[in-house]
Amino acid sequence: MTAPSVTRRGFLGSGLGLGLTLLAGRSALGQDAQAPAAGGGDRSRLFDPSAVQERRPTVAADNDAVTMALEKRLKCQCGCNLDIYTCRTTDFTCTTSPALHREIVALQGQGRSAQEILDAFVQEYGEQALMAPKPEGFNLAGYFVPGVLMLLGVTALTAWIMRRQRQVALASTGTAGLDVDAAAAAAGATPEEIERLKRALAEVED
Amino acid sequence: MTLLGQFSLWVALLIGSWCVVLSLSGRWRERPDLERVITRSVYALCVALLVATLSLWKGLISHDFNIEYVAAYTSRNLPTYYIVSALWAGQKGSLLFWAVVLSLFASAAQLLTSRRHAALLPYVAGITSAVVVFFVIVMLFAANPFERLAFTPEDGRGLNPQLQNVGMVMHPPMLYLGYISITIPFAFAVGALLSRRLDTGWIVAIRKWTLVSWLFLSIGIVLGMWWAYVELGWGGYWAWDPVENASFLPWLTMTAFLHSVMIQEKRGMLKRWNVALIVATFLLSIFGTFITRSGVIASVHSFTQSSVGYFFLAFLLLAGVYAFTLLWTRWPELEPEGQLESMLSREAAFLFNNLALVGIAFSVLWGTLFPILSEAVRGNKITVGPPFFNRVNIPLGLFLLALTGIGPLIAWRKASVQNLRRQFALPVSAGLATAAALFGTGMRDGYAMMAIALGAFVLGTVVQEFYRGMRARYRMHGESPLVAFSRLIGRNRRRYGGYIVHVGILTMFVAFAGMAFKVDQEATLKPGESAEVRSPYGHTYKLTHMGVSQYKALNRFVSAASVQVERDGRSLGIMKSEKRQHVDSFGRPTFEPSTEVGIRSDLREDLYIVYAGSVDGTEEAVYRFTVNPLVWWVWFAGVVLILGGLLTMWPGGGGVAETRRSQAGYEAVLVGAGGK
Repeated sequence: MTAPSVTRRGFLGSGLGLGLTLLAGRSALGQDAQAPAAGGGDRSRLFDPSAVQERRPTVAADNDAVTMALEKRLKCQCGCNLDIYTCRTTDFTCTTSPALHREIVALQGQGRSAQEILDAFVQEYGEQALMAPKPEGFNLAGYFVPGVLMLLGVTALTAWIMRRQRQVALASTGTAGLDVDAAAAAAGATPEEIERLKRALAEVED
Repeated sequence: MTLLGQFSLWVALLIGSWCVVLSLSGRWRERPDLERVITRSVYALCVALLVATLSLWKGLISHDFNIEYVAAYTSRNLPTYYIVSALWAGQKGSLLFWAVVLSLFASAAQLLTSRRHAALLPYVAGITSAVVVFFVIVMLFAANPFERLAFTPEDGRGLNPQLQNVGMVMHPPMLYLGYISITIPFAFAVGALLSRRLDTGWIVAIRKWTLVSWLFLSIGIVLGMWWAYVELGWGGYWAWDPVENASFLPWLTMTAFLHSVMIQEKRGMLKRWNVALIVATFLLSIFGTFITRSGVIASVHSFTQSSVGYFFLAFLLLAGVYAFTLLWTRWPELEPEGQLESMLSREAAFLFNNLALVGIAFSVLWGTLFPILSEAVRGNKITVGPPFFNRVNIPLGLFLLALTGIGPLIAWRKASVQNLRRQFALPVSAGLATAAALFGTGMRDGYAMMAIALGAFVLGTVVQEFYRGMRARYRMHGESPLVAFSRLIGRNRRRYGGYIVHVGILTMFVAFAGMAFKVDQEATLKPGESAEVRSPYGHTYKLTHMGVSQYKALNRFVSAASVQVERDGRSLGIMKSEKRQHVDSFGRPTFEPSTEVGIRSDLREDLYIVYAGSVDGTEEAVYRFTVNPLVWWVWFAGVVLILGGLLTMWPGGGGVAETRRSQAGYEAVLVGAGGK
């Protein structure tokens, strides 16, 4: 038997290969110890699928801007208080919001307009299906009471200040011509005190 | 320990009731020794509640699962800091937390209040003790944190995964501290009404307390936004949920008070309004607690529905009727000392600012309660969600933002046209130039443009104020810009701290405007596959799914989906979003799998990745990718706001000196008008 011989080129080649493998390994570990190597589109089974929510693959309608906008106007009926879009893209345990999403997509597929879909939801689930009530009837109070009260408040406050302003103007006519110097002199202030008062006033006014 | 805890609650009830009766009976006015008894009762109440709290903490830390609360909110494998925070994670524990913190604040008020306001302290002791007693009654008769189970489970249920976040360790206590500390200014206000000491004394006594409340509320709200953003996974930070609204309401009225109180201090005006604002703020803090705990309005944040709601409703009505009746009986004694002289004055601007703040508070309250009102009137259930609140509140918010800039530019008493021209030229130019630049770059969202342009206007006012102040110091003292800047703030912390708060507010408005340009996209990717997302700034993210790895961690089983991120061809690294299946110490699942989002944040935008789940139990992952513009600035604004608030309330700094200076100005007018 002859001992296996290793040529110098073979030895160097193996050493280089081993070094490159280690480097590549270190580089991958350096990126993220937990991260698996990027695959080529294969889908191996998870170790424990039950630890992750089961989802359907995304379809074009899931990213449709009109559908998204519509879903943001409709409330999920699972009791979560969120709109359908937010619920289906946040609460992954909810089975209601994906079903409602499919319902909307199906209605869109039938050629229904956005308003018709909203109306269909209101008919099916009641007015609470809408994230904001329709601006009609009693709901108008919801929309307009804060704004109207604010306008009334601004008007009342403006009128009140103007009235005060007039009262002060009338009262000051009796003391017209009294400036700081006169007022201070009347109070028996010295020129130094008047000067100090002026400086203090200037500072306040700034 | 539960026996000790339970016993301490009963002791607290007795001491607190004794203190309330003694204080409100007024017997101490004839017998000064009773004043000391009242003060000591406040301390004793605090000690009793501290013992109760330590007893519950002992139960939590020692895993005494025979206590229903411990079994419901902790497990053996829950990290210690979450076990500690479990005190405020549930309804019953948080009631105890509320009571003990209020008793600590009440003791601090007795200890730290200046002797000048000593006459108010027995009343303050009575009012704070009454509120503490209310919480103790709720615990003893409706939500006892020491309630025992008929059996002892092997392990507890554990803490809700969404509460297992550092934000949730800090956010509730901060918010509670804000809510709770409001009781102290309320107690001083009621004390002033009861004692008929209605000069500015009580205002001075509560100055620091109101700032403390406002600061804690601000920190609590910002932390809550941050927690919602990083933990809940919906890609936003504010959803106009009733519980969020409930925290916002007292913040608005407290902010209004912090402005209007300046008018009372300088001009002796708005006395009635200021008392009403403090009372309203206290009632709104109780209202917030009622909303959170009653289940009367559906909310994603509420505690489980329970009977404590009735207790809070009754207390709310009682406190409201009592305080406003008292205010009504003292109405003639709260006559203003000064008069508003001109529409073009800072006083008038502050009044409009108050109107805007209270108007927004009303609007938020109206929207929150409108579903109940609608059901009562029409018998029809409706939903009032973000589209409603945005439509109603954005215009009001912009009005308020404009006033934030206008107020500081107008002189006290009366501004001249020349003064207005000088003050407004630069800020208005900054606002208009910003609007033009935004329009030129193609922005067409009206509200977003207005928010950013008004932000530039307000920033212009603040920069101008700082510049003029520094220039004046340079002229008078020859100080370098840095020295002038620091002394300017140091000598007048209240004023310049306030300006810094304004910078925080305007930055927040601008950052909120960024959400108008949010981009959402869903994608299903096999390992190695990529999706492209276009940012509102025009660049493209390439997101490559690398696979899903699963492993065990402390109290959970983690499924981590990794994504290689490139922006316009340049690698930005790897991001990870997780599914966490929490388990108890026996490995049994405790909750549904929860989601941990991946966030990459820079000054322009956040890339927000959510691993929604997998297809057929494989590594084929469903993702939601979101690009959120300007979110970093929301947190930055929060920090600026808090720093400004801290600066404002920092001891010293010439608040009194400034008041004297400003009063000197009015003295001249009063002399001119013929004396006081």
